[in-house]
Amino acid sequence: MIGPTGFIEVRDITKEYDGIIALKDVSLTLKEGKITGVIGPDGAGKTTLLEIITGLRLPDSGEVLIAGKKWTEDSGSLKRNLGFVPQDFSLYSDLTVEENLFFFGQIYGQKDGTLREKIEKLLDIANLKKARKRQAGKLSGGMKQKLMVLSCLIHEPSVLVLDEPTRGVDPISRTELWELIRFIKEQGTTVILSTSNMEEVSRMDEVVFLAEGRVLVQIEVQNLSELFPFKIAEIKTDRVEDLIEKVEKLKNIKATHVVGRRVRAYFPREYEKKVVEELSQIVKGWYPVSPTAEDVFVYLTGGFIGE
Amino acid sequence: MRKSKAFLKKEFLHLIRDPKSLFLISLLPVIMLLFYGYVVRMDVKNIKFGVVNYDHSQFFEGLVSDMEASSYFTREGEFPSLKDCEKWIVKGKVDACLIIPSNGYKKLLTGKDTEVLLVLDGSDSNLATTVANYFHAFLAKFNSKHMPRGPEFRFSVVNFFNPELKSSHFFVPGLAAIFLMMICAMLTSITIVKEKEIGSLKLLRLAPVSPFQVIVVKLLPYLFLAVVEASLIIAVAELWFRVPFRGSLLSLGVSIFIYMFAGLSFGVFLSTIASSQAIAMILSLVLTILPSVLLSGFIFPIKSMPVLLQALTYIIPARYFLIIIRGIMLMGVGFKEIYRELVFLMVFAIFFFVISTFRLKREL
Amino acid sequence: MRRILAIVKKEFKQMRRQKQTLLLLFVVPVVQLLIFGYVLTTDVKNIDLGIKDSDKTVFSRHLIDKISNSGYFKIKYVDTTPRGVEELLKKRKVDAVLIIPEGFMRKVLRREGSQAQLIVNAMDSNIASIVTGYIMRIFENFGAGILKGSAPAKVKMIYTAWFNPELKSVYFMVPGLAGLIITIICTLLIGFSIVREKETSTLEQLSITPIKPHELLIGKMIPYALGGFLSITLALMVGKLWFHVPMRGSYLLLFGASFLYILTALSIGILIATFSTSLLQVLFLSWFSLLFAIMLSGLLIPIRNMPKFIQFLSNLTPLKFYIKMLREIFLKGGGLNLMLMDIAILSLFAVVFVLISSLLFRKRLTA
Repeated sequence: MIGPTGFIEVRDITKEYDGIIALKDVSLTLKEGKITGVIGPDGAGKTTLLEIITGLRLPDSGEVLIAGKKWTEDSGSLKRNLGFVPQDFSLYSDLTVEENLFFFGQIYGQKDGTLREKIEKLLDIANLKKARKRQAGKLSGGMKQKLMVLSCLIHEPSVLVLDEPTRGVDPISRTELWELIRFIKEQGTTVILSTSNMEEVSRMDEVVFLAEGRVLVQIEVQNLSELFPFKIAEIKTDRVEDLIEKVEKLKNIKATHVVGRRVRAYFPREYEKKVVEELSQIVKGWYPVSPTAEDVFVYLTGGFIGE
Repeated sequence: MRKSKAFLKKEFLHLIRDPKSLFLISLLPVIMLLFYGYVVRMDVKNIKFGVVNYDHSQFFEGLVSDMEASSYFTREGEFPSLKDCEKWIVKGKVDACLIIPSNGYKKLLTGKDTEVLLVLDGSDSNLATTVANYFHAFLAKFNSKHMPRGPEFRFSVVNFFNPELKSSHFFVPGLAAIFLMMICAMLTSITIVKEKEIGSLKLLRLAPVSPFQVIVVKLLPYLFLAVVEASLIIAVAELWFRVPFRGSLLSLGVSIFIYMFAGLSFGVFLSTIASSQAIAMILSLVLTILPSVLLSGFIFPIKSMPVLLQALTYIIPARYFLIIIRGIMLMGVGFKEIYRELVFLMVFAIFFFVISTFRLKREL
Repeated sequence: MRRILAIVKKEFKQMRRQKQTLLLLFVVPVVQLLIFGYVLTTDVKNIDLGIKDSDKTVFSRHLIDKISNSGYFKIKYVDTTPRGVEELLKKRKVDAVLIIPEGFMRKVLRREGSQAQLIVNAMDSNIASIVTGYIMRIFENFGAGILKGSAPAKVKMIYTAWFNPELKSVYFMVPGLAGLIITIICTLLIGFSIVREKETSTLEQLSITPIKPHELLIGKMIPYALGGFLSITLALMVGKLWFHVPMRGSYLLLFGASFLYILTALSIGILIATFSTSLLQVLFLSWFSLLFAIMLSGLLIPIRNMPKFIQFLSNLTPLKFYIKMLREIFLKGGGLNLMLMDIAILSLFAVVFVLISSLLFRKRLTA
């Protein structure tokens, strides 16, 4: 077993493919028993980072330590304590759900009896009992994804890495997948996953923002808003365009953003008092809201309009 | 027209973007021809033989040294009895053992025939037959040289079209036929099924192209490639192996074109019936390449096969193309001798072309 | 061990689901052997022989009867001059023409010197010399029959072919074909199976599990080795029961040799899969290596007829040694002492190929 600290340390990793830099000087320290999200747009280097953490790829320079062990030194015990769910479906599509799970369990040296029990439990958790006899290739996208996660849980890894597990999955399956991931976390497993969907950040404990192969920031989700120097006022309205026009005329509003029938107005913290005054003159009700992950990310990558 | 053009461009791009396959396709057959062109030489040289001579006369010593003097036989040793030679035969150290009976020469002097016994290793029936034939020919010559000449029924032999009996003249055009079929069928057999597998066939379904256009466009780049390939192969046969070329280039060109068309059509057909690339490839191997090698008369004469199998050979394009290419190159035949074969190839090509179109229509 | 077993079980499950694999294992060997056993004969029969008989005597007709009764020829009377023969050959009406000149028999008997003429389409040099040989023998026997006692004595040949007195080429071909069949099956199937794992990225998934490359390979080899054994047994049964190929040697030796060869063939398949990224490439490379084996193993073309350089190269194909051993076991009933060398070479092949393929596979898997 991985020792009590159980954290993952990524030190100065650089990786190039044919002269194109995928990762540049990436260093991270990940806590045990938490869900860490690696967030970034496509091409930011998320998959490369995860593959290096799981030992699938070797970095050009730098190293990864999992509970103090290096891939180059002790890959055997690391493998036994790690699960990886890659982006593409990578189970045997001509084997059934059960057979796939059974196979991976056996690969990890599990006894048939305990394996059977475990599979039963996992199928139950993931709500896949009805599909147990179906061939994996014939499952829906969401079911396939759940099956992939299950196949990585069968050996009870202490670290589970998932590469964009919710990509292309319908909303219901997505919720189910997240329930599964929460469950895994509750078992004490350290979860690292990547996503390009900023809305999922709220379900994580900690996030790593990645852009163009570099780490922008690593922070606990609850502290995310601290990185954002603006406050946000959200105003409900039926006439969005009129409102925007009015709001944008205010001096201290740096930017506006429309979400459905609501307008968000961004303003620097120090002008809070003034803005509150000004706003109350134009509109009846507004609420302060905290910045979304997307707000923070866009701000960090320098794409914030108001800057 | 415009649509087809765009589509055609895509197909060419597929080819160019996959340099590994392109390399294999263009160079491999030529290299194989260069290599395998040397492999077959049907005439056996240096037949190793042992001798058990119970006669000891000068006459039969002479026979043995005459044998050695010919380029066909090499004496490996003399043995006191057959039993001593047995091991050598079993181990394959000698191909045959010649046993000369005692008083053989005396018998000849009294005007009676003497029979010498040739013991052969029949486990290689091929070789054994050849050795027996050679020895027989040798004895005929030997008799006419050393024995008093009686009235003899003789004949002279004229070997038409290949007076030096070079097996490569026969074999190399055959290899060309096989390799061309192999490229055509293998290349196209996966094209459509590939689009099926990656799902782009569904996109084609939405696009306003007809199945006919799809198939034509799929064939064209490969037809182009195959013609280039064919020219290379013929050039190697001509310039390297010096296979005579007695017919007209035009008739060969036309024939090759039709043959390629037949091969490609059949490949596309396989592609429309196969459910995966793997199956398409296995089908192309089992249904085109193996029969082309074995049932076309490439090595094994069709006439010697059982009637049922002979009938089967009629549906194999390579059978016809072998007749054509050998006819044109070695015998210098023209269209009037090969038009039937050409017509068949054409029918074969069109048949599978049309079937593929229909199959694709159902698919689209 | 448990991990190997897991792989073995999984492969069997997959095999069962894939109908074409089963087809390849069970049907193909039998069908191939049945067809090719008949096709691959080097006997030449049904030669179309045109005859122009200008002699038109009882004797010449007798000679023609003899030719016709030999069973090798189909006689067609043609009226042609030697120059017209070319046209006949080009049109493929005949394979050869025998021209018996006017007064041939009379002149021969009076020793006035006359010759018949045999014009052969020598495109296929092999057939040409066989046809010439057939006619020569018929002429000789004919002469001996006509002249009876009055002919001068000569040295005649009788022959006996050990192990295969009737010189049936099917005896020679069946063991060779059986060897070819397991080459195809073992090399292709395992190659496909590995590349399929590459394509569906299950191989990547396996590479993060604690399974070791050699365990994976062994697990994969066991089912296909069993499959190989099964199909060779089937093939040889067809050979024995249908074609009546005699089995004179020991079964133990047969299976021992087969084991070594199957191991080699599987390793070649793994090697091919290691270098390939798609099924297409596997097929292309397998076909390439198969062609090499077919041409150079002595299966169809006697190795000793090949140029020296090619003969040397033929040692690179393990199939050569396996076929040689199969033929020796079947036809000669050869024992171990006869093929120590071949076994040593085959073992060497097996060891080298297993090593190379597992090393390369391991490299690819961990890189």
